[in-house]
Amino acid sequence: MNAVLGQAGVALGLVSSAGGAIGLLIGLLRRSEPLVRAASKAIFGLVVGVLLAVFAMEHALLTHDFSLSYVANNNARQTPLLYDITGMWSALQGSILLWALILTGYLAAMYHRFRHRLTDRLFTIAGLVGMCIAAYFFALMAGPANPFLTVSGHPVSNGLGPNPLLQDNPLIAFHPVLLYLGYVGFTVPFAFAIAALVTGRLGEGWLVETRRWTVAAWAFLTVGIVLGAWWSYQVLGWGGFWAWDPVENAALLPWLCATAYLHSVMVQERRGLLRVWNLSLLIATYALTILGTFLTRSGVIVSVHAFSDSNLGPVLIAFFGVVVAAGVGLIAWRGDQLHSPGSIDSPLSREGAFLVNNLLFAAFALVVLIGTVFPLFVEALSHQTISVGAPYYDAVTGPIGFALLFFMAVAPVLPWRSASVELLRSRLAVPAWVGLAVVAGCVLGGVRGFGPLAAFGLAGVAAGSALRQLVLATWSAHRSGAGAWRGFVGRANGGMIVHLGVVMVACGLVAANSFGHRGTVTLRPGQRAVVEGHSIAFYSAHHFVHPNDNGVVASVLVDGALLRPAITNFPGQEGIGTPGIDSSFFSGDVYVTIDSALPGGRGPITFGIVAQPMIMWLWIGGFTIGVGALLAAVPGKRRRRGTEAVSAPALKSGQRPGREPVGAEPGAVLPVGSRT
Amino acid sequence: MSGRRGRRSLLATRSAWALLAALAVAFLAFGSVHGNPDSPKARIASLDGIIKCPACEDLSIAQSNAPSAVTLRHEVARFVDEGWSDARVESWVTNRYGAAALLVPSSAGAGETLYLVPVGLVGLAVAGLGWYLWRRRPSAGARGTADGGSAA
Repeated sequence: MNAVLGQAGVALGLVSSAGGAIGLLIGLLRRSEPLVRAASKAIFGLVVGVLLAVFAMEHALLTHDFSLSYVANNNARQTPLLYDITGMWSALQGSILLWALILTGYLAAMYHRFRHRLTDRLFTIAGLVGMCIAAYFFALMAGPANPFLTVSGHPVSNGLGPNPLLQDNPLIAFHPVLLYLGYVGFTVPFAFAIAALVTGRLGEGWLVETRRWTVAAWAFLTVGIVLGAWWSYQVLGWGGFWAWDPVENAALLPWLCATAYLHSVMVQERRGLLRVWNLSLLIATYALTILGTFLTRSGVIVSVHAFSDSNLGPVLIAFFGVVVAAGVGLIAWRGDQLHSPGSIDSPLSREGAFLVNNLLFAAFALVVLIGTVFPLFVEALSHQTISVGAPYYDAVTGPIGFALLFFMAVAPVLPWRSASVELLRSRLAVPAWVGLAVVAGCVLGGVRGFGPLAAFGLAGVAAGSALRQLVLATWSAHRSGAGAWRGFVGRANGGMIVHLGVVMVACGLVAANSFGHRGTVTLRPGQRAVVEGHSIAFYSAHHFVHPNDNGVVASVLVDGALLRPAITNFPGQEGIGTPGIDSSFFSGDVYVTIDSALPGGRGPITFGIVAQPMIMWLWIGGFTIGVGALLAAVPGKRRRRGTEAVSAPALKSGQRPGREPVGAEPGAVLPVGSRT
Repeated sequence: MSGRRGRRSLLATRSAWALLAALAVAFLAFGSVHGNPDSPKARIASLDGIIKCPACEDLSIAQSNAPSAVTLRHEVARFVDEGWSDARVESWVTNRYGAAALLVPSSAGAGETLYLVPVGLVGLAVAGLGWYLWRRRPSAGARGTADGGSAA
């Protein structure tokens, strides 16, 4: 019954999306508004279809319907309830279903948001692009990634259960979902970018209208990546959080492009510049989400995250090729209409800083992309297997990170158009003294090493710069009677809170990379030792048996804190470590794992001890970035309601938007945050 | 009077920046003096960072506490104590575990390409940016319209 219901849902989704796309296309070609309106109703079929499929899958997982091959392979009778539910995205086919669910949600929200503009050609084409993408994913589920295939013969009495790594921490309920909310969320701005290129309506209206969609997708992706790092730290038992694994890189690549876009789009909104660049970044961001899916789900690379191998590689890489070819082709076709009507007057300006910032983000993405695919090329060309790991990425991305911190410190105090050295001296004075105070405090506190000290100093300047903006904005809002809280909302001010979060993340990364250290010690119960400066006393260990797993948990006293590291054996996979962690905001974490133990926990146990200074800053920084992005999406005080931004025409060639590029368009919405 | 006050203010600002720069250089210089990068301990840490843990997919032996990684760490420490050069240790590792046992490609062609391709492309991008800014620079008259508006 679950199989039939699920297949019916997938079929309904496929028919609705493909039918809707064909209807919209014919409606566009015939310029038939009634047909476009009728075809737009396909979104209802899409929603019903995906909900039906998701209901069928969850019902099958909760009732342990092992007649479904997916359930038999990713669920067991003893699987805890939470992991029954999250089983839907524990393997390839289910994760495609999650993708389809989130994509349908975004498309439904898009259709609701633009329900009064269904026949606007720009929106109609954006909807057509969305429907085509939905049809592709439903076709995957109807064909090579079918989650509702049934087992041949009699169903097994019990399934294999999810991958043990996916049933060891509740973060499985959040991390993949947030990551997909980020990945899939870029579909909306991508669809509008394609629509703008097709219609030739290349002004700034569509950018303004999709701004919050982009910010939301970026925020989800950011928090998803940070949660992934946290999960890696909590679950994988190696004491680290980022291994430059190809799949981690695949999530980082669209994030880098999207971050560059969020900065450069302000230059286009404000000055009408960088149109080709912004379109390229948006298309690259979306294409890289597909490339990430290809890397994760095709089995082309070996990774702790590549939970499933499949035969999806060719269809995913073909889709990636279509996205890239369509984007590049359309940009080339519209090339003559994409000339910016103005120019950057001075490198010493806000837009000049954003341009360099974009170059740095692009270089960062390039380094990560080359490092990720390089082993594949070498293997294909020379049949030689090579590894590209942390030493390469740290060496090449480190200087880029320094430069990004520097521009993050300077850009917020730069005005648009041009700045004088005197102005910079005045505005950077307080942030620079903050940076110096940080360096002095670190040196006096015993921190050594040019790299970390320079990084902490730059982080201090960047934090001072962001705080300066927030203080001025809050004071200004208070004086104008709007309420001081207004100084924290809007794109510019929310963006500064994001910067503060990034500064915290940067400090956490630098501290972990520069001062993290580890060691091992083998102890018998009752013994104690000092390892890497930490005292460790081993009290006792006991063997536990749960319905789904068994293992050994130890009681150890580390620097006065009682920790309980464990090692767990799941059916089919043994030795999954659960660390015991003693956390402190300033001094950092002491992370203890059981590296080896005899069965039953008798005899000596080898403990791994990892010291990670300031690692909590990473998680708090990630949370701060999420909050900042949320505040950036709140309308600023000078935002004024526009009319039909989607329908706004492009600026004529040679027309200079000057200081009011968005306002120059009829009905456009002014940038939030007012003072950017 | 106001001219003199302005000059005095400018002098004070410049002095403050000079003081700030001097203090920053002093603190950074003082804080940078530490350890000897060629000491056996530093060399062992560096080698541990580039040798891949045989039992892992992405981690170095410095990052992993897998038994094979711990054994290899002890081997590396012993080799360094015996006076082996870094190149000899790396060669021993690749002979025993294959080229993929190093997290940075050791073969000259692949290793150089990995670094040169991004550097070359970024160089091109910087040159392109410079050309863009030079080509689109406004005339001297247009510069007078600069917006000194506040950013904060």
